[in-house]
Amino acid sequence: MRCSLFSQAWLRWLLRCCALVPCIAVFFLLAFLLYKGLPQLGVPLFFDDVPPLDALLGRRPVWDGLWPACAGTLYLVGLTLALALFPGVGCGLYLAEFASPHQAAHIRLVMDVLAGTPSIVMGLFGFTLILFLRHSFAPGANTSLLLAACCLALLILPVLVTATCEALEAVPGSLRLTGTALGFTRRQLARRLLLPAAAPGIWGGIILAMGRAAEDTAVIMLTGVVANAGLPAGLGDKFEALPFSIFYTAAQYQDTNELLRGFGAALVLLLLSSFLLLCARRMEVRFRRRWQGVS
Amino acid sequence: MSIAARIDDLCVSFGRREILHQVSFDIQAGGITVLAGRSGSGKTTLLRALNRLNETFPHCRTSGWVELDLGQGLEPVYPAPGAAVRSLALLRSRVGMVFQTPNVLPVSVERNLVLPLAVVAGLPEAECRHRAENALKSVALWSEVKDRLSMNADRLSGGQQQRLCLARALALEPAMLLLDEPTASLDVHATAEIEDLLLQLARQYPLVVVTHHPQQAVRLGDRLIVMADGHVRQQFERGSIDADTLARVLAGAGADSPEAAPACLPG
Repeated sequence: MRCSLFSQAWLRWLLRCCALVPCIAVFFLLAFLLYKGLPQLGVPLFFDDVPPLDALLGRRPVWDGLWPACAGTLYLVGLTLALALFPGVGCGLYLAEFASPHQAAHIRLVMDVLAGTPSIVMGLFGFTLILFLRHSFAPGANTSLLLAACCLALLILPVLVTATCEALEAVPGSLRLTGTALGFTRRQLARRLLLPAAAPGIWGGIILAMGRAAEDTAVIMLTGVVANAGLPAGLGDKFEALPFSIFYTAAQYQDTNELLRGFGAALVLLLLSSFLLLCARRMEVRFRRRWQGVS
Repeated sequence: MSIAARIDDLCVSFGRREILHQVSFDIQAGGITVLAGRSGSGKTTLLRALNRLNETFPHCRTSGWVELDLGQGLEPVYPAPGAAVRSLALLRSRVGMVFQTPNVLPVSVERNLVLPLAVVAGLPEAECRHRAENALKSVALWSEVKDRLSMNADRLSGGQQQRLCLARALALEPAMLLLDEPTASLDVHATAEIEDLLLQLARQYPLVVVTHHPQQAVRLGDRLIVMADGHVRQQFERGSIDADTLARVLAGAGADSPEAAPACLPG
């Protein structure tokens, strides 16, 4: 009895330590980033010596600030989500609601392979695709924002599919039965009851996918990002992005000031990701309230 | 008296297990028909055969003949050579169903009624709200929730939730109502409220109620159908049997067999 109590207490302490490890790691990471990056935050970090309004409106290019990289990251994340959202959620819905067990097994295998593909391989795939296009159908094809977004979309697709599928599978069976008994068709049931009921889980997947798209460097490095391109001019042009700016600064810095600006960029990326996360959370709450009709 | 449903030689099986064996009887249009029987006797499966809800479960096979009066005389429910049947969604929207556990949708009180009306019946919003109010009044819930329409429905009490489910079924203006042990999860007070409500509703709709409580069966039923092992064993009219005798009949009507209905919902 005493031995059992001792082992229970020991297990509780062990688990408490396990829970503390990520908390401490995040605390030190944030503290370090804030300590190094916070003093760097300011108008010059973003716009250098260009007046902010001129830079924001694109009247004057910014060559030595983070603004083009911030804009490039936002464009990239937006375009990636636009490309991956519909197929990702659609595939998850099909997998959970409509696929036969045989089809589901095949789709899950494909998703597992895709999820296990390293991002550098995805980047190489994009790069090879451009080489193939240049030598075949489109001699003018080049690495660009669109190509990077396509490759990133492939990278985040399994996250969206799995999150949607798991969220739908977690919807209680009684809700399906109730909707069916009320006379909902299968399509109405999926669209008007199951998807909204599974929305928190799906939004969770979207937030994860957004974070992944915002921070990935390996894919974009081979598919269109450059250190100095200014604001993205179009889908077919090169662009700047924050994770690449951080990587480039860390690898090529000439003096301490430049390294500190790299820490500033890392903090900006963290803030930008948090901002996107907050926006997504807010949208989820608004969507849920609207569907539920709860005031 | 006219007939609300005619069941003839109905067999239902899930996989290799036959749950209902050659069930045949008529359901009168007036009053409450009670299906009584012990757990696993096939009551719920029989109820779900009327609105073809069994077909949502895997490996379900149904044979036989079921006809329902959905407003234009008896019409076949299951496809058969030469028989035109309504779509599943249309059939189910015309046959209201209330489950053992209150199955409120995870939305507000008002939206629980408005959502099916908008989606299934395709009504405009103003009409949906009007019908929702009438349905809530007909289950005596309006006065209790009229100031809390935008509250989440799962915050209502168990009895209120069950009345909300009843109102949701009524709002779709069904031709008949199926109730699967509607008071099984309620306390005595809420049970009495629901029973009073069912007796009132029986004046407007044909009601088929499943129960395994002899007292409730005798209180509610104009006709009692005793089931055991997937067969109809005996039928009684109101006044021809008391609760104690019915309890003995139920106890003697076949040994308890494994649960017949698929286990998605209790019962």
